[in-house]
Amino acid sequence: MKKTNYILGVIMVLFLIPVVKAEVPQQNPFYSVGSDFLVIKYHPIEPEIHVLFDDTSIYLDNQNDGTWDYEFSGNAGETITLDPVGSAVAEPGGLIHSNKPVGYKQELQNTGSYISRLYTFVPVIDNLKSEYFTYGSHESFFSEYSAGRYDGKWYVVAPKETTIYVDQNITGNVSQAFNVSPGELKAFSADPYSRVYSNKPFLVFNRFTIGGIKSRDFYTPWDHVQILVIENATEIKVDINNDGVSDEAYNLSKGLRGYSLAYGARITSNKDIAMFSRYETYEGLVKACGGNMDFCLFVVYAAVNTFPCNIGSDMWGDGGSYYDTHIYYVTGIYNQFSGLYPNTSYFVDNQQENDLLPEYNRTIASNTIDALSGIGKVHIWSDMPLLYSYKYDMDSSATTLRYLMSYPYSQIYSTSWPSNKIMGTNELTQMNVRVFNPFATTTINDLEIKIKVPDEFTANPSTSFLIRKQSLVNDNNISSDIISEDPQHIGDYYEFTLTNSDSSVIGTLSPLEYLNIYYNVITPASYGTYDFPTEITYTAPTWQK
Amino acid sequence: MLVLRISYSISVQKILEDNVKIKDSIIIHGLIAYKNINNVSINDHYSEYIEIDRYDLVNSNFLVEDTFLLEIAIGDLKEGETKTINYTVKKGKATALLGATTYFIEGEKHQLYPKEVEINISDNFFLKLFSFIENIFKIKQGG
Repeated sequence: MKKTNYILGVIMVLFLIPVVKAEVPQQNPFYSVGSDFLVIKYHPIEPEIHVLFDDTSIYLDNQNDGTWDYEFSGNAGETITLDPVGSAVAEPGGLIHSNKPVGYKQELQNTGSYISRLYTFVPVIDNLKSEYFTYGSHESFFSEYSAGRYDGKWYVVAPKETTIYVDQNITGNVSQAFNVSPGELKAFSADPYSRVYSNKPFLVFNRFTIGGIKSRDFYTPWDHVQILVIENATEIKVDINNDGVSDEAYNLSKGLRGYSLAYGARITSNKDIAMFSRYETYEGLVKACGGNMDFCLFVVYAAVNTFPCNIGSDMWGDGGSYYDTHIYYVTGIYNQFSGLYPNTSYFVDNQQENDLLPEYNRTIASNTIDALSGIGKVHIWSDMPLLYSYKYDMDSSATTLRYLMSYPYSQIYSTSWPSNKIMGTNELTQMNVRVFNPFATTTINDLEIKIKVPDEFTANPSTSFLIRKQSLVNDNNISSDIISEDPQHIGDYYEFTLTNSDSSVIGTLSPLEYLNIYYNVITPASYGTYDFPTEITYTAPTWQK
Repeated sequence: MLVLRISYSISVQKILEDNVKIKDSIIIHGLIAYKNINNVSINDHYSEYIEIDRYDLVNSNFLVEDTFLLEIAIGDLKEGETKTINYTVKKGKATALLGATTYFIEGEKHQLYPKEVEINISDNFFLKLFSFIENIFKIKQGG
């Protein structure tokens, strides 16, 4: 019997190896580091930017009107609060842009003396969805102590002019419809649950969490979840120990259901569901509040967006400080049955050094959580994907509850931005395109960059592109070139396609490298707002379950 | 293969106009400021050295082309302010890039895109003004 299992194991590993090494677009997490975000705020708590690399500039465009209002700067390992001088504040719906990868962390709730602090990292604009699922302020869903303390509202911001539709109770009918403009915050209520959708990307959030995303495959970061069943007759299976065999099965009708599960358990379904992770149990809150229920807050939930394409093996976040040890956790998911190895090996590097020489490395089994050592801001990478979250480790004297459900993962991406803050009409102006590889071990190949210039602008034939490959860590120049490209007029854009055949500088990006590209365009004679999309294609070995 | 697509809204504003006109052998710059701007400088580039009243040309370049530059410092302009500057071409034959005017706003240097003009002034002068943008239209139309 043992021999049979061994042979089966070898066969499975042999089968999995080419899949894992395949070049597939799976490592594209919803929560990722990036350069462009929309400000989400509920209380007057300013955005926190986790700076990953030295000499990072951050720009805040409060109206998202194409001209930034405030500039900030920071170095690796620093947290920069976007707190403009004077009476100005960061406005919800405003645009945050950075010239290097950062993480945007937002405190959603801070309720005062007996403090419950709930945080979220905010997905980059390019990862926003056009459909979310929300829960209501129904008393039984929060807790008996939530009544009167929460207005039940959800909020919407969008990068473009967008019409939002709310399907309360998920009946297939539109119960509310409203428009959201760039730089604007709109609110809605929809008990007990709702589907919120549009034909354009947007972001929905409340004082606890970002809205849930539908999927048929989730991994749980914690041991309590609420599942929003969207359709009747939904079959849900739970693989508690990730051995590929479901341990529990449920046939559920539409509605919210609560479950206690093992850490890192896998939940699959035959129809789309949304999932929220429970922040804390009632008993824990009472303990945290010193037994005085008058000060107890809510049992609240954060969206679990951890289906396979939303998890990764390269993460950026906190590792704890001297006073806050054992509060940052990774959750093991895979084992030899569901992945390559019995345990996941992970490596932890101090962000301030970013030398890819880990301060420590450990292994973690599936269905377990591991507290990180207190070394400040960290870069974590692993040989199989992990979940990475934050929870204050309460004891009897604790009066503060703090949670953060998902830290951002690395992502290959591009950004495009004018070199000048202000662009005048009929000007010769410089544009900057950057392509980043913030991964610790992944090299990308066959990189192709498509730069699009709106045809109201003038893109000269034989436009010159200055291309530098630089280190994200110290900006050292690795290689550089100047090339000329003729544009193609396609649709409403002039398109320049830069590939390895144009210059050997393009084509590959090693870990912690970026491409820094400059070119000139002529602005139109008439004023207005214009889009500058950039597309990149590449191949890279990455994780696929 | 992975494709990412990121689109940004970038605002283009009216800040400074340099309306270039040519009357006989006189080059006329009509400046209109729509915002408070600093260190405005009219820049006309010539492919060859030509004779101009009151000014001398200096060696320079525009978009990596070697040129002879006529630079006329204007100083600061306030929002709504207009200013007209003119000079006379006395003699010479050159391709001129008129109105590569520079200014500063919020500490950043900006440069207007010039108009291309053929200038030939000898016994009989001939000035032909056409928009450099026309070349681009040809490209748009596949010409």
